[in-house]
Amino acid sequence: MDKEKIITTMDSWINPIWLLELRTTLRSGRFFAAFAFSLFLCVAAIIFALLILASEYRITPDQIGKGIFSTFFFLEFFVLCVFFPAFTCTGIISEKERKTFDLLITSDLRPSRIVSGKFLAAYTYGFLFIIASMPLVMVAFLFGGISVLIVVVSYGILLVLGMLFILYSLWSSTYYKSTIRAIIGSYSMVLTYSFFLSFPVIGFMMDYLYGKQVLKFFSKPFNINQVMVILIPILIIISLGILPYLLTINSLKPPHANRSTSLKIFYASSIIVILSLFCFWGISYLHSPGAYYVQRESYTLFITATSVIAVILLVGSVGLPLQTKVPGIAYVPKQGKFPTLPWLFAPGALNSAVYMGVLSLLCYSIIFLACSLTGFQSPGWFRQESFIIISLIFWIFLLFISLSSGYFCLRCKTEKTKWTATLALVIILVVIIPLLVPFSMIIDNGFQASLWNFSYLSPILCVISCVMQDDTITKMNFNLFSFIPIYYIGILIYSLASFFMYKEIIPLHKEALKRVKDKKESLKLLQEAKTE
Amino acid sequence: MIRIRNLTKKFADLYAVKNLNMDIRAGEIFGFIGPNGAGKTTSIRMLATLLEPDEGTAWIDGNCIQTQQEEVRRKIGYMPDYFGVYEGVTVWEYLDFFARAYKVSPKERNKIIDGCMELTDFTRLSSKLVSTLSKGMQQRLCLAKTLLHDPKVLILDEPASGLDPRARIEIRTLLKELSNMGKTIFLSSHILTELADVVDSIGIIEKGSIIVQGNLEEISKAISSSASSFAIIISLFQGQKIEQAKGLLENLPDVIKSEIKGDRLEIQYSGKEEEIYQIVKHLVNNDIPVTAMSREEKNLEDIFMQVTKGEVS
Repeated sequence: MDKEKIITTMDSWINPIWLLELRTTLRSGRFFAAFAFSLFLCVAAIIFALLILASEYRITPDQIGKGIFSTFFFLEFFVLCVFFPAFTCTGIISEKERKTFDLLITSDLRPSRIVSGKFLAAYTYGFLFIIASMPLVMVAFLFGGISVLIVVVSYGILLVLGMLFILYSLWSSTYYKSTIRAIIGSYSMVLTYSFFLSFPVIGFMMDYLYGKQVLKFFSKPFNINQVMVILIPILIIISLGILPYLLTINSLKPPHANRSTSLKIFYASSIIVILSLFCFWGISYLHSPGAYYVQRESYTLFITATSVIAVILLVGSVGLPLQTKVPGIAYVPKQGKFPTLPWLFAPGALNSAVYMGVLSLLCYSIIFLACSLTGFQSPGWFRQESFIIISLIFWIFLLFISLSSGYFCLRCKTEKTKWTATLALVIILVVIIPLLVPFSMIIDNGFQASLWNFSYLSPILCVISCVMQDDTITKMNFNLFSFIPIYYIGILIYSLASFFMYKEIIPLHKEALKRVKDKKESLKLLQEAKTE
Repeated sequence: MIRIRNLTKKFADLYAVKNLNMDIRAGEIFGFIGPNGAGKTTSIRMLATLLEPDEGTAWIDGNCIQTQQEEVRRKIGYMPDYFGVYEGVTVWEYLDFFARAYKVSPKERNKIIDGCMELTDFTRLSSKLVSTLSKGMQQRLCLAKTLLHDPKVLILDEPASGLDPRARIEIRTLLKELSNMGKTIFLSSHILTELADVVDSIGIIEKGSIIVQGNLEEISKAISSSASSFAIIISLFQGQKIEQAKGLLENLPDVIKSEIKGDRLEIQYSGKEEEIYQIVKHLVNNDIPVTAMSREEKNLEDIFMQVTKGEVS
């Protein structure tokens, strides 16, 4: 590759927003003042710490070194909380107030490039702030007590926290409609986060300087717990960071382009958290297999993760198909013989229902895989095969709900009707049917699944009946076929209902597609007539 | 080049634009005229993909503004009515930023920026800070920015508002030059004099709907032919016998009113066009020194005043 080509390639990598931000901000007096002030603070803090520590009686040099370093670190943490949001919280709102936003949006810059440009610019200033103070911390080395490793790890923590603060400030700048609100919102978020994050950070610092338990833990020969301690915070930070990033990008898109994006973002971040839970579960099981507490922990995590997934997918199953405008389909991408990924993500009523069905199947497959791979063993009162049945109950129920909301979307003439019909269905199945059970208990003198209390239609009751293994389970059988547990009847009914619902939607979907096509064709004919 | 079909935008219960239908040919300068609040900016923002239409759509060079936004953005150069500038950057840096934003190839970028600066007369001001430029210069700079990616269509919202007469003339000259380069220009304004010399065709919008659309001359003729009377101006040699001429004309049956304006006489005539010569004959027979006679042409302002009622959407 010749020199010119390399330069051209590298030039095309430069984010225009980043370059512009650097050109405008680095020349401003505000940046210079803030930069000088932060360095002044650092110098003052070191001198102050030295004076305080030197006045102590019988203090060893390594204690002075540790004292200087910890003072310096917390000051840097403070600088991070104060200065990082200052350069980001007006990032997008200032473009709107300056009336340059329309020029940006109508250019060839994608929202993701605008957001990453703003992020990179703010991160560059922050990076400069932190790196510029690095020589000052070297004073601590004169006294000893600290190592290069702790300096590198502390700066790493600061840089990761800075990344999070910038992302939340950037989101705040798109969420609020005025600069003042964006600044208040941004600092509120950052200060709340820093309050909670300061505990582990302080704990880590104090541990290193005065106890070294963490260091001892990591200095042991490689074991799975070390991976776990590193992996879980990383996954949590990714899930915390991905949400504001995607939300910021989402808010820059025109409304019709982000119809279902907010829900996808919701899934993306939630699924990362759930995966981190599973990692924790799997790793802890692998670390000490067979231990009773691991079984209990695994069971708790299984129930937690399944419930979280079920709630997320229930919201999506109702909401995503209803994003489509009534009547018919707002926008349907070209369909080939086989459904492609963009097709699954398209905001059409049927497409969304299929997307939700596939997503729920995927999530419960993860549960199944995790259970199989980690050799999940249930406590005595929990059926071994329950996790498969529970996954199946939730999946088929969610598929049915999703298809139903898609059906209402295609059938109902007004927004209000489709929402009312869908919510009524969800409330009946999720709330009303379980409430019928206590009434039936009074009449039947104990719990008895029957035709009129419809307990087999409630996924919650099906799950409870599946989990229970004691004598009560025999009483929970469907009274017409007492040998069949109600969860099998529930699965069968929802499978048949989903099948018929799908059959019902197909012609409606085709009709809607035809309407869109007819409209397009009539417009085309009109155009041709005009041209002639 | 631009096709608009049933374009509609509603804000709550209020129609900002209602069933807008238009066709603009390639290379044409189209003037989009209307009183304040008529729906000009809303229509333009929909064309520039900044607003989603509630109904209908538009195609720019065959690309739909709803489903092919990225292609549309590459095809258009958009200049909003109000826009800001970045403080602390020079003219060259400002253009460099937008050239990068439009993904102009690094090899061509400097050449294109220089070309745009030359066209908009910024070559000598390339190192001047954008924030120190006058309003007229900033308008011109924004126009230069819209040309960087060589768009086929220019969508300009009130390009000459708030400019002094000299800057307006400069913008007009620039628009003509761009039209000669084959660009299709869609520009809105409510200052009619600034459009009259430049546009090939116009569309007048009021209360969100188009009331008149087409070639300026055709519209003028159509309005004149539909009118029940029109004005005729008669010039007399050094204004001699003007009072006598006025008296003579007032006695004619088709003359509604007559008025002396300096050495000329202006009459409102309700008769047939082919019988206008009878007026001249009548005056000459009475020894009135007629030197010229012309029918008053309708200008853009007259057309605008005649077709609009001053209502907003």
